[in-house]
Amino acid sequence: MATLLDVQNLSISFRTYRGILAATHDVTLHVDAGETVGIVGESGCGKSVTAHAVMRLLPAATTIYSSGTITWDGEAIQGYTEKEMNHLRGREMAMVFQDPMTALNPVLSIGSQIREGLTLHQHLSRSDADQEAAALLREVGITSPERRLHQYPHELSGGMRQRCLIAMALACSPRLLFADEPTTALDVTTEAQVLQLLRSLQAERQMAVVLISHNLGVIAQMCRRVYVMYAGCVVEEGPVEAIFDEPAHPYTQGLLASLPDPAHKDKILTGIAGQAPDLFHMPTGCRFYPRCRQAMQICKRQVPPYYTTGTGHRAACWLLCPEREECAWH
Amino acid sequence: MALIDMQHVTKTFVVDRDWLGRPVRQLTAVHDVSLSLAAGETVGLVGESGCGKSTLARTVLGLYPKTSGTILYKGKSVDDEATGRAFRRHVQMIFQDPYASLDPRMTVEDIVAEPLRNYHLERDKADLRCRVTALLEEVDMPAEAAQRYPHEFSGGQRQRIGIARALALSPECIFCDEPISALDVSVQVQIVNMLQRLQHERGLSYLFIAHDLAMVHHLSQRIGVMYLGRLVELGPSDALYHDPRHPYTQALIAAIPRPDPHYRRHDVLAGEVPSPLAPPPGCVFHPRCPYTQERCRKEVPLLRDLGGGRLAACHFAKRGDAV
Repeated sequence: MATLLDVQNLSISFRTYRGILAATHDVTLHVDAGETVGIVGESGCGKSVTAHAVMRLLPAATTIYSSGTITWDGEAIQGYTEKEMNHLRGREMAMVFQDPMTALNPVLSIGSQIREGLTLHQHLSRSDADQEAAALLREVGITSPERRLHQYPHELSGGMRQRCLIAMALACSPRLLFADEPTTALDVTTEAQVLQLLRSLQAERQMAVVLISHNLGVIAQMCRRVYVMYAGCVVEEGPVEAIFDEPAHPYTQGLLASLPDPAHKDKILTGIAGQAPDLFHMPTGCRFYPRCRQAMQICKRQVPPYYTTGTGHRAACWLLCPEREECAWH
Repeated sequence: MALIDMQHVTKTFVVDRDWLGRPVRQLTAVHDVSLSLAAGETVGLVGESGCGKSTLARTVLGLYPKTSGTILYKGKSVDDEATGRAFRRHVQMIFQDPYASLDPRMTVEDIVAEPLRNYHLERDKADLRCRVTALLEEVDMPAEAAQRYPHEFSGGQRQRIGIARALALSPECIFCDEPISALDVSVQVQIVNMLQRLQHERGLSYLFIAHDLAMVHHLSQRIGVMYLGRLVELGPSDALYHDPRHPYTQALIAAIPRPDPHYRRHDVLAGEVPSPLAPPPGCVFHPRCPYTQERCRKEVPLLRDLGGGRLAACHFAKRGDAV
């Protein structure tokens, strides 16, 4: 399949009052047309920053793009002007944000918020846009859509608002949809409904989806390929079965060991000791080594390269180095 | 004898009053819930937002005045002054939001020492400092933390400070209101393991409120499921998780996103939770239930004993204790 989005060695930092904050480091990922890719990691690992960087939604004044390229459909888009980006955003790629309470404008009706993209990109008239908006709301499973168009966000429940956000993102039939923690704010039964909706929309529209989540369950149920991020780096990537069945990086292993196993209720969860590093003071070498149970001398000194452990499955960890036994590293 | 016995607890909030101050609209957040908690036991309470699980905990602790019902502490009603005083001292609470539940202007030492000061349990300053250090040590925090302020700590560390504060009065029971839902996965485990260790060392009981059913199952001996202010199912943790009897519990468990790419999901529960201002007649779950019959629309199902320590509020829940 054709590669839609290709991100190479993307490093992003922010200027803050406390100094330079390193948000992502050397992130390389790609998304093929029509596939669902997951980015999983804990808060502050850089998963949202990566998505926002691709759509250029980060504050321009304080963001430093220190290295890397972003290629959209074979074209480098970093040199694009704001006007050219506006053509991409909404029409080619769109985003569903985490919090349905704050992502919608409280003083505009649902209808006018969905219409915005349609009139801007597709130059529809108001009445055509209204019809199209109602059709979109019906597609995302909202009952009596014509009435909803005149309602305001506070009149809808969390699940309904999230559906409206999805309708807005779908308005111009984007080829890539970023879903940034789309169900984190929702209850578990509503979450299941929204995930099912995303899955069927993805299949019907043959749209690529990048699902960003901290919830391993959501990722396992939705994605074909997964990127695991930790402290701004992609530490492991691979097909979803490989990531969950044979995790290669100690961080991924630790994340999976943090989840209770319903079949073995009394098993003590091992999890991961310590806490994520301060983004202002990143450890040298492997960023995970201060929390890693299997850390070696080299981990502290040198950043591990990626080692391939299977088809499309690779991880950045010195434990996977084939010459490990020969060198006296420990 | 149960440590805490809640009998028919109901909590109603007045939403609207007329010009004479008489209530016109009421919201029943907790409706006739009976639940007991034995010494050393962990009871999990699950349900979606707005189901009344936090309100129940707060009402039992007296943070909200209860509308009706009885709360017994070691067999005596907490409405009795002496029992009530002992109850409030020995039953503590930890809160969901580690950012909002600690006063930003107090040092960690002041926060942890406050309950001790309130009950005049300190002999002198040195004694107080010593006890705070011991409490912080118990939750794996360094003694230096005492002189710092909450904003200097991460979410997981703040939750530890909240736990140290709850432990200050050597409680018998702690109500944990979503203590881990604001935390990252790897930090959740640290807190959960610590709660289990403290339970083991101090013989604590927990009422563990959460929406993460998998984690509640891991921690609890018994689980109660709430929907729209009602307790709809109660039973031993393993039996309830692997063989849920109430259709809502079944849907809730089926909806958990499993961290297993080979798992195929069952049907998704349709619809949304009705407004608690106008709960549906009959069984409150009937508009969303896949098995609804005529009887469900009219008759309110009572919490029925199904054998094996299991209870469910459904006309058609099957009996027997087979798992």
